[in-house]
Amino acid sequence: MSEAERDPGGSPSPWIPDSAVQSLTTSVSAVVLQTKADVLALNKPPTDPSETKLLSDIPFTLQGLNTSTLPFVNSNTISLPNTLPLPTISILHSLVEPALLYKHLMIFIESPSGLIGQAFRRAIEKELRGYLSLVSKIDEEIRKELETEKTAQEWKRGWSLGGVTLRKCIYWLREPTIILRLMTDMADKCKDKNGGRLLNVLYSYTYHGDPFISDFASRLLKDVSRPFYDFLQQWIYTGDVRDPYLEFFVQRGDQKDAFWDGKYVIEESQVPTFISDELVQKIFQTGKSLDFIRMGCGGGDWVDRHGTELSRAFHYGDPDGEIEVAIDTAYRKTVTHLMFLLTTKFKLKEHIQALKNYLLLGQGDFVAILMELLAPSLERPANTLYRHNLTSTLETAIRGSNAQYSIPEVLRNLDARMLELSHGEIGWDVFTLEYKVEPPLDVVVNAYATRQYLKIFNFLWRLKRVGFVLDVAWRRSITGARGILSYVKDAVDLDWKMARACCSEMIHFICQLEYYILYEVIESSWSELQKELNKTDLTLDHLIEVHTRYLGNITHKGLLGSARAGKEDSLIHQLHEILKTMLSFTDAIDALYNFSLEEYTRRPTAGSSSLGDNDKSAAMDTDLHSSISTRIKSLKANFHFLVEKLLGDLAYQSDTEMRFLGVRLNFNEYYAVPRHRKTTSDAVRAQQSA
Amino acid sequence: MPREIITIQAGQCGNQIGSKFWEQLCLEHGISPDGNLRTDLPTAGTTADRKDVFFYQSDDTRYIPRALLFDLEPRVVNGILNGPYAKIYNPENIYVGNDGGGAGNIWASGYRAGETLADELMDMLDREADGSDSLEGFMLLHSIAGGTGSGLGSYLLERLSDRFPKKIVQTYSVFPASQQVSEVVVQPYNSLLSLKRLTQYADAVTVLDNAALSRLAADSLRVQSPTFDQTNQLVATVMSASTTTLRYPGYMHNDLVSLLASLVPTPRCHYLMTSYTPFTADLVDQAKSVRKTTVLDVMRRLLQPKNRMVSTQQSANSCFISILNIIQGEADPTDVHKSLLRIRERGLATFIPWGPASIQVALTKKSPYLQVSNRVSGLMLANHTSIASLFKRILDQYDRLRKRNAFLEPYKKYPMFEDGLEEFDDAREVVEDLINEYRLAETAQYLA
Repeated sequence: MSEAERDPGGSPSPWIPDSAVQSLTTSVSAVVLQTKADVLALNKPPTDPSETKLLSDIPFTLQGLNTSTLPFVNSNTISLPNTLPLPTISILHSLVEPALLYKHLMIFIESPSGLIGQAFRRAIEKELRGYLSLVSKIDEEIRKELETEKTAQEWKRGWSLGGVTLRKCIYWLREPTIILRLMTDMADKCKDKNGGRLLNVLYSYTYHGDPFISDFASRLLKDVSRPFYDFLQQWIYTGDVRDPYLEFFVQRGDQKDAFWDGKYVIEESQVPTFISDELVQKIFQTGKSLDFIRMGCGGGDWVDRHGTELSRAFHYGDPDGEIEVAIDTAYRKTVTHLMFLLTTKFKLKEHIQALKNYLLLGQGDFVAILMELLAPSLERPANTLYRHNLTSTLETAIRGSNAQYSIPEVLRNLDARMLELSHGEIGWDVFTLEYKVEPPLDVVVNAYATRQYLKIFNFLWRLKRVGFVLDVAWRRSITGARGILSYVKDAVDLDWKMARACCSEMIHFICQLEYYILYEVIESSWSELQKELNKTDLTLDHLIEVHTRYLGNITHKGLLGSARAGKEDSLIHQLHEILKTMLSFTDAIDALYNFSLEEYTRRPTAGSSSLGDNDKSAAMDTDLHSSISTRIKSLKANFHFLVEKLLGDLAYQSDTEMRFLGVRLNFNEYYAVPRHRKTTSDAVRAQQSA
Repeated sequence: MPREIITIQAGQCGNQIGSKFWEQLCLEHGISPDGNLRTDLPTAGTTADRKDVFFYQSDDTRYIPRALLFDLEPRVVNGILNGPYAKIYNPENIYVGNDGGGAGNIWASGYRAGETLADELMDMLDREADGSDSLEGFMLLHSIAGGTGSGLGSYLLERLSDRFPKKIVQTYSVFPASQQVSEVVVQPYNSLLSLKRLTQYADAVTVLDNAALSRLAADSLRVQSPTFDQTNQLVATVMSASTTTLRYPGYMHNDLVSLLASLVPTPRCHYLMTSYTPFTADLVDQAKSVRKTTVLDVMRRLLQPKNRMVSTQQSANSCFISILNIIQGEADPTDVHKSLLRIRERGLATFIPWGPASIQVALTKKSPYLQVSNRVSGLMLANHTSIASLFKRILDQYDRLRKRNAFLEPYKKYPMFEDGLEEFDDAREVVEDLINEYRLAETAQYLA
């Protein structure tokens, strides 16, 4: 504790005010009996114990020691002789107060505590030493006085000469008592506190209106805050902190294995109030980033260099702004370096772009090829799928598209697999693309983000699939019209007309929906994300936040994340119903095509419909024909019903883009949108969920 | 596995347009006239584009167009083979007729030449098709007024449909300028006979009309009578723009089917008109200096009839069956959003009453190999019922000629017409049906 003994920077000790010292030295020579009070005092009958006796015992009492006249009953209580007159008792009352406070504080400073608590106790101890030296000075004066008295005339014996009196002692002890009181007050308030909480108690005294108190508190803080600034220094220059008593405001979180999220947390109650919130964040980010650079990104060397280059000690009351500037420097360097590592060494932006290209289907040519290659096997039951087939198909799709130009780090992460099987599903239900993000980037693309990506992928993939089968149906019906369908026109032309119109209605729906999700939702969220990513002072936490918000935006506006998801009337549920209807419809179109093909081959002179007219009616399977017609009609009606319901709901969305999707889907007002179907409570709910 | 597209250029017009088209594609993909990748460009090595849809790589890694050049007379093709891009074509893919006369502007002659040369031409087609991994379809470039493009083109359409029943057949067909008197008197005959094939054997026909092209070229180039070279440049621009989504993969419309599926709801109504804006000096020599282009400007201009590359007569009932706008450049989805709302508010586009229809938008990037000064450019592909007025005009012109039985002799020399002129009547019926179908499509009863 050599440092604690250092004289507190320049400010004069309150223990021995100049005036008091002077009076101590001059009092002896100033024994002149002149006043009426003095005369009265001289003629007072002697008390028991005598003032001299009390005077000789007082220095012991002031040091907390027992004397026969003033014994301590316990640490908080002292017993005064009951033989004394009232005025003397009240003088003694004042005199023993510092003694009791001293004793109390002595007990306090021995109590166990954390590092900052220890510093606080040592600071008090130092003050108490000042107090003791004052007591010893008083003691000296009293001894001198008593010596003089011994040699004095007989009649004066037993009487104070007035040079050193109990009352004088009170005068000398006045300021020290205030300080002792103050310290006792502080000690009582800090008894159970440690770390930043303790600093905050002391700091509150620096706002005291009494400059004496506020100065004293500031002086105390300078010493007491030292361990705190040590923590701070370690934290922002090494990313580690030796804090055995959990006193620093950065603490380990409960995520023991985490590299980033939850590894460290801010313990709000330990934040010293003299550190601004902004600074607290910077400090937190700096150390956290250093730790992450060291533990997560293999950048230990850099961290060590950073520490040695920048490290400096901090003190409470350092000149204005110096601490802020130093912290800011450390913060900027660290944060910039972390982003530099993530973007260069770990190719963060490439991976986020790849997630968009592959899981959000941005790489259209790749997706189209993958779908075409997989479609036949995905139609079969899920348990006939083999992972090695999926991966080899994936490989083919990469080779066949511009995906082949992706960097190897990206392609390595791309995988095709099956979701957990449950009975009776077909390949389409279980297939998924996966993009495995490796550490340390998994702090950005964390478990939550991965789930969101997967959710979005599954929806988009489903949308693409429906678009794909509709395109197949369209191609068949259009190219068929050049060939075989033109030969059986008389039999199935009306069915085809209706089927095609419905097919193009569905294609229109899918195109508009896809455009909406891909451009209005994903692209616009993406450009927002890019804007944030290109900011220079981006921290990892902010990055995680904007990435999470990016995904949140997509799921919300992409109709996936409404609060009512899963319920019967949620938008996503309605969409799935619509998509299901479309799939059934393409089955019906297939049936119609096959029927037309059969009809074509059945006719004896294929290629000339007019000649076959006679035998046709006899053999044509009219039951099958009418059942296909009915099926197409009812699917079309169902589709209309579902679309109109969805449009009705979209019109009540609070989000303008979502409302506009409704406008797009019904640009020429072909569908009759139900206007007053929704109740106000629904609209309110829509507002809330938005 | 690119969705390859094989381009067939038939006749003078087809080959002229084609050669411009390939020049444009080479520019957009950073391919030099000898087929090698250009290494002098700052963007060399960019991998955002797909060259293999329209090109394949030879053993010495040169890029070769998937193009077949057919003509019955050598002038245009020889011009190409003496031009700067001569070396880019595969010489095995070129057929040029020996006798200098060509098809003599007689459809029947061109068609007959097709029949005679069938083995040779189909061989070339097969070879080219076999060279593709997953052939998406064919693009036929021709004019329907003359002899080779219309006659040979018609023959090829029939054969393609038969030989590749499941492949998409798209054509870029140049229609004759209607207002002025043509030097080819039998033009209505040729057009009518071609129209029948375009209706029956093609999946999508992009109609370009020489009159409109000249008007557009004159307007954007500020010249009195633009040359064919200049109008062909416009066509090449439109062709390249309409294939951008295939060549620069993005979210949507990465193949021809998905592009056409949203445009062509029923098999017969597959005639598309186009608008393009702005034509700037970057695309066409001596064009006007660029105006300020915003997404709204572009989308609004695309809807104006004067920017269409075909002149049709709109009636009160004419309407759009479908629209696809391909916007290239720095287009923000929110701008598109606003533009669509504005267009809807102002009622700038009328749509069919029998199904949902809207302005479909595809956003694509600009070629990294080209420096262009305008921020945004746009192409509109639209299926509009007023296209029928063009067919009606052809039909009327045909009827006038046919009433007088004028100029039929040259046709009767060929097998198809030896025993009678039923083929004309049949073609007339097909075209009349087509016109009626479009007329019906303007009403809500279309599906009834």
